[in-house]
Amino acid sequence: MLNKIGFNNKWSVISLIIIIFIILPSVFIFLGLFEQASDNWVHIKTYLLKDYVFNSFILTFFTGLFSIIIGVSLAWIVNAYDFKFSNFFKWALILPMAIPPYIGSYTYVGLLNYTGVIQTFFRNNLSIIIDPSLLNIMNLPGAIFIYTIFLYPYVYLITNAFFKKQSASIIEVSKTLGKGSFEIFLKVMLPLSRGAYVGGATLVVLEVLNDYGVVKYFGISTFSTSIFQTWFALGDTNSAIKLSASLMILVFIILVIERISRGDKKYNHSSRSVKPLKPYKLKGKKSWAMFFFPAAIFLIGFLVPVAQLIHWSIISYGNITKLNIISILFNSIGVSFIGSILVIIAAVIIANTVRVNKDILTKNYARIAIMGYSIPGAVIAIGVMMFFLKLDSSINMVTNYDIGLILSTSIFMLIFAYFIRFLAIGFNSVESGFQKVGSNYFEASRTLGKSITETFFKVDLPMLKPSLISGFLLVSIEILKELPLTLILRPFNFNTLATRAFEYANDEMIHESAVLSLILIIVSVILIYTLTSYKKKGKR
Amino acid sequence: MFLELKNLDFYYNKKKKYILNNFTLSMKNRKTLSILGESGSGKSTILRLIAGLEKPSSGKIFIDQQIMNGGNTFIPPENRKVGMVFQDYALFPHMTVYENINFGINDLSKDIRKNKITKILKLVELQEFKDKYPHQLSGGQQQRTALARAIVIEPKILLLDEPFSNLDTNLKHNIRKKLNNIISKINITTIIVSHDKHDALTLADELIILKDGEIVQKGKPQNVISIPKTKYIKGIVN
Repeated sequence: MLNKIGFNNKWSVISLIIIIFIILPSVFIFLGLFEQASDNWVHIKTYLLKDYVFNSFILTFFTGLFSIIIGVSLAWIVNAYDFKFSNFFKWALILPMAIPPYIGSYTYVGLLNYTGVIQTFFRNNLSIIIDPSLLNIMNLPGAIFIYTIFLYPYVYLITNAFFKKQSASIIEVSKTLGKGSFEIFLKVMLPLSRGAYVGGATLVVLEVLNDYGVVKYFGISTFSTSIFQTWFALGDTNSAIKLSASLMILVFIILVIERISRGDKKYNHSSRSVKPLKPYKLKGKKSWAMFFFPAAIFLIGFLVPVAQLIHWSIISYGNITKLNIISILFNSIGVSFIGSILVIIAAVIIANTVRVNKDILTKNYARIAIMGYSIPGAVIAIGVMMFFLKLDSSINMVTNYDIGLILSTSIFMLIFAYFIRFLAIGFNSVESGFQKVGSNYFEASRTLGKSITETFFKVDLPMLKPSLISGFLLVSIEILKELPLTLILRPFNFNTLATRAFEYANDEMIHESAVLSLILIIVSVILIYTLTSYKKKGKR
Repeated sequence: MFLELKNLDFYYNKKKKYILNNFTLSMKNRKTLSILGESGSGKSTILRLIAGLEKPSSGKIFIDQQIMNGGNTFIPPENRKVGMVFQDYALFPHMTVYENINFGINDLSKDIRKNKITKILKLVELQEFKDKYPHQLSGGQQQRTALARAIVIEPKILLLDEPFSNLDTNLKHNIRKKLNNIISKINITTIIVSHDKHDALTLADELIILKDGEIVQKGKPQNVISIPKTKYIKGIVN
């Protein structure tokens, strides 16, 4: 019986334990739904929930839409045309991803406000006084701008990878059928890449729902901000759980919409041989004209905010020693390293179990493993907190000693939350690695008398190395930038680059915040660069 | 002559290695030419140059006495009226058979399009598959869809690049016959690139053998195959 449901080896047992740990925090949220509602909840439901839903909808819808427009058109341009610096842009257009939206938000507010570079320049050099309301971005459209410009790389990355795999003959045949470049893009490539860009836009939307920093700084009420407020300001856990559950319902609706929008058609190539797209070489003016759009996006999404941060960092140079940078950097890299290692180990165990066992129970492991990424940080934080409080009280009960809140005040709780939230990223990377390797080597090794574990270490692991490293780097970048989870679950006096930068910005100490933000961006860029060059090397 | 390729040179810039060197070819209207050669002999490049998918390094191309390439002239592929069936068929995976065929004529009125597509579907015997997607079709059906899509635009020339390479050997004979039937019915100038002598024997009026971008033998398919001039040609046609 146990064999039938996949308990035939150590891998299955460890996988099941990991899966139970992933599910438990969500169970606490679910159970919280049935608890009696507090007065606060009645107030929230009657007067505030409408605003949260409206604002969250406007932010996610328009950010998703604009991210698709920018991400898809950029991916198409760099794949279809060879123009000035096109090879540079292929990589550089990913870089806005290194800037967390909350850092982008206060940088742009600083740039555009009365004392910022733009207004000062017009005022002092051209004697033009700009109406401050024109450049005020601390509102819904401003938040959409910030999210779009720093999150579009999710759409760009996935669509870019999709276009790279497309057959050149699809474009060539369209040309022989009388179609020009724009029509080919609109009628062939755009519908063809629908699955890719819808997938990318879903990630963007989930990031927007997860975000706390931008909306808090801009004073926009969303689910994230309201969960923080009800929990910390009102001390009402019950209402926070109910809000979390409402947000989960919204996420569920978004995921269903994604499924439907992707369609069920299999857009596979009709043949085995695929000749990749060859970019069309543009010369002279056309080449410079094509350069303009990606250059503008790169400028707005990366160069301008980084230049501003460098400028502020120089101004606040004298304060740097007071910022305790080394210990904050050490904290950031430390949690990011430990979190990523744990994610990759768990991802390998689950992915290998899913590959080896083909029973119904195991099949669902993959779905559960990637569930965390669609749950916003604030929701995970509440679930994890409830779970750890329960663990602590159980330990106290079992040991009969009042040893206090050992686990729920420790760094383990934060790392566990990272683990749940980012397991999806590690898992997808490892799973695609297993798919590339295939099952032939595994089966050959098994027929030669090796166990699953022996086969894994001697055969699979060496071949999986590129996927494991890619997964590790991707998770590290995400943990490094993470804000809401860290803000809620960090132990007392524990700071990361992200939390400290956010706190300074929130206290209007923009210059001090700039130094930490800049370090965070530099570390992220190094990781992104390592990741992309490692992937290129792997392809060769 | 209906199609003329005059002193065509084609090489890739980086190594300046010639794919075609001073290549000349002419064809009469409504004839079918087969080009046989090993991989890398330049046969697919000839089709791509005629379609306008590649620009020759030098030389001229005329279709129906109109210059396509030469000097400062380059007519882009979308304006050449050349139908091409690619080796991998290049069917749009997100479109049905009907939508694939419709793609090249969607500027015509609805009635005319419907009429044309119905006729073509009947010709290629795919009426009952019109609502299927490419991945739901067999190799032979995919090939006929690609052919229907290429001929519905009423091209001046039809180019077929290794039309049978994606098919099982057992099916090839039957499908070759069907293709021959369709080509005879539409009666347009056709060039078929292949590495199988049976394609030439079944489908072509004339056969050329290509080696390193040069014609090494030319004639009626039966003659070239029965009396190969060199050992290389013998190897190709046997």
